[in-house]
Amino acid sequence: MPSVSGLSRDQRKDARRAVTRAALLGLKNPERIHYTQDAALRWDGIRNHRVSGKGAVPTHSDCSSFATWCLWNGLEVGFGTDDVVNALGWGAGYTGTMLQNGKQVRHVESVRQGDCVLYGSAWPGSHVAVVVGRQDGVPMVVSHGSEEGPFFVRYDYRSDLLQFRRYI
Amino acid sequence: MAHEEFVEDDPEYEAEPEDDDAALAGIVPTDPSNVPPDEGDAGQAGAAGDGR
Repeated sequence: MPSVSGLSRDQRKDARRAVTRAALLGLKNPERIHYTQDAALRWDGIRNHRVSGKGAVPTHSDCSSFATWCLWNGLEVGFGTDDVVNALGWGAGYTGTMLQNGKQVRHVESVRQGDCVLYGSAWPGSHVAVVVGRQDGVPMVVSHGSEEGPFFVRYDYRSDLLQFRRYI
Repeated sequence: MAHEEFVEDDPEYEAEPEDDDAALAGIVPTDPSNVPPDEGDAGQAGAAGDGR
């Protein structure tokens, strides 16, 4: 059974690192990433090919377009992978489509860099953040849910964790 | 939703390498009480979800 992304184990490791680098670049540049749900602006990162490896970040995004941009850096930029995150050609999506794609990670012990944490009471969810690794064994996420973000927080910083999902 | 599949049931993901967390060294987490409320996500109002 192939992985969600179709990448090999070694490629997945590289992709996860690239996703993490993108998320951490966003974390270090909050003043450059304005929060918006405006459809004309929130896909700036992918639409304008802002590659994190070149130091670029989206000028505008919301939580799901930021998470998708991070994954796009690891998957499409790195390996030419189709949009396995929202299945909308890397040009659209939200938490609802993110919940309809990828594979669920049942146990927190299995969570890896590049996985996403979705929050909310049920589909279509209400928020998503990107896992960037662990501190003291606890998965940590970069979350962009407001103009002040992104923030670096524990995966369980919200009480309404819905599920973990993998796209790599 | 369609039948759910789990990473843990997929042999492809067995022995997935551990992450290298070196990049997180020195990054101090924000206390959740200091995180402004998340504003939600495009599409929450039932719209198609955005910038197509």
